[in-house]
Amino acid sequence: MISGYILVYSSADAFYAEEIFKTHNINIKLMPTPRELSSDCGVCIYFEIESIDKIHLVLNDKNLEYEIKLK
Amino acid sequence: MDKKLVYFDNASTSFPKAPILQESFYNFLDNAGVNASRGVYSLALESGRILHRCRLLLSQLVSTEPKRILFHLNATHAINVALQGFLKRGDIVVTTQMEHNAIKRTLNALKEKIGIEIREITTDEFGNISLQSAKELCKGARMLACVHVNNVNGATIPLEELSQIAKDENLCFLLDASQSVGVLPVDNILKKVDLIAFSGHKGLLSTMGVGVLGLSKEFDEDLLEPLIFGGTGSLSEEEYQPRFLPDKFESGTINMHGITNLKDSLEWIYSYGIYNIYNHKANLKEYLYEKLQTINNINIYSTQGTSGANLSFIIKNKSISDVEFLLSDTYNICTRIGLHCSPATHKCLDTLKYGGTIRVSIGAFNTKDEIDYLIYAIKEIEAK
Repeated sequence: MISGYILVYSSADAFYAEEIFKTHNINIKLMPTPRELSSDCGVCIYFEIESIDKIHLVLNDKNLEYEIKLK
Repeated sequence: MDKKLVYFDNASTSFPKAPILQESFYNFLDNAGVNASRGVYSLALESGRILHRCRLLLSQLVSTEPKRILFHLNATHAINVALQGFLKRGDIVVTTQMEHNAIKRTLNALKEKIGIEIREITTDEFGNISLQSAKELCKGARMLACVHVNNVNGATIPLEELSQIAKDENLCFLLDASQSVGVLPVDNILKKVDLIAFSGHKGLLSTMGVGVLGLSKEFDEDLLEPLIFGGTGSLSEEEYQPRFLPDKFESGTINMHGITNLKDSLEWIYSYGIYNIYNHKANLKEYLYEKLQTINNINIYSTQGTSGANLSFIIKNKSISDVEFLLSDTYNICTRIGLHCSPATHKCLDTLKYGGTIRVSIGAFNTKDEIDYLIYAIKEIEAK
């Protein structure tokens, strides 16, 4: 299963995103940002590829800036 | 003293607090109790979720985005971040004649330190201002900074009109909402002003130690510099402050105990009905005003109607300190006398000659019976 990380600027954005995903029944996990990935935040969001379309949809809807890195 | 304590100093801080807070405090100590945004273990995540939930609730209260809610030590701290972070040498700032020292002293300090120009809109004792004069004074200014509801007598500024003037003149509008949040409806307030400062422990019924600076969605945060710098748990490899919100303004460990309490008190307020609280305070204030008017030798320095929950009075020929002492010592009633950190207001009210006023500030848990008891006490003291 392909998976990836959503990188956001701050942990405030990460927790905001977590709540949005919960509301939309999208399974994610908050994780420490892998050190090899450049990030502005110590927390990132792990997801599985099947959710990627919904993820784009809800994050864009909330105007949250993010970057996706696939594993 | 076996008389029941009656508390009328809610403008200073609410008492009692939201009933949930004892449970809230111990829950946090037992089940989270650690720094938010400084790790991804279970306790840190729980703390981070509480922090986010508090931001979200506050952002919904004042109509902005969660990351535009910035936590500080108190409202005065938030006001200092706004004024010191925004104003530059030579800027003109417009304010009113009835400001609390939170704005007054900060502006005066900036005047001495960096040479800003302060213009004051003439204000009568009811908070009425000349809008024509406000419009004139705002020309060429960079900021309008004023209190929403006066802490001495509840006078309320004409927010809609001042908001329009600020928009027309392209000014940044900072509102000190310490006495209005939790007292008057503030829905959509960050569509009327750019910056709002308030605390969690007054109208929002939480504990002391948390102040909020809210930024409107349109406000460009690049125009505001932080007051303090340091660790944020983000961009740790960088030796310069992050530029993104909220981290730019939240260095060091924040008061998670206070923020947890504020989150829980907000949830309690919403479940109880925030408009029920607004109406309750307004009704009691009106009732107090009417009853107080019936007592001889009283000067009231507040108005009837939709002003905030604070009322000031004096008893002619009685020292205000004697009255406060008797109210406390004989009747176990808590009021606050003096200048209430707002000598400018007392200048407008012409009450400096009495050393200020006796202030009664109504809270969510006051009752009509308590107002009756206060009136009974004031009548007895007046007759002595």
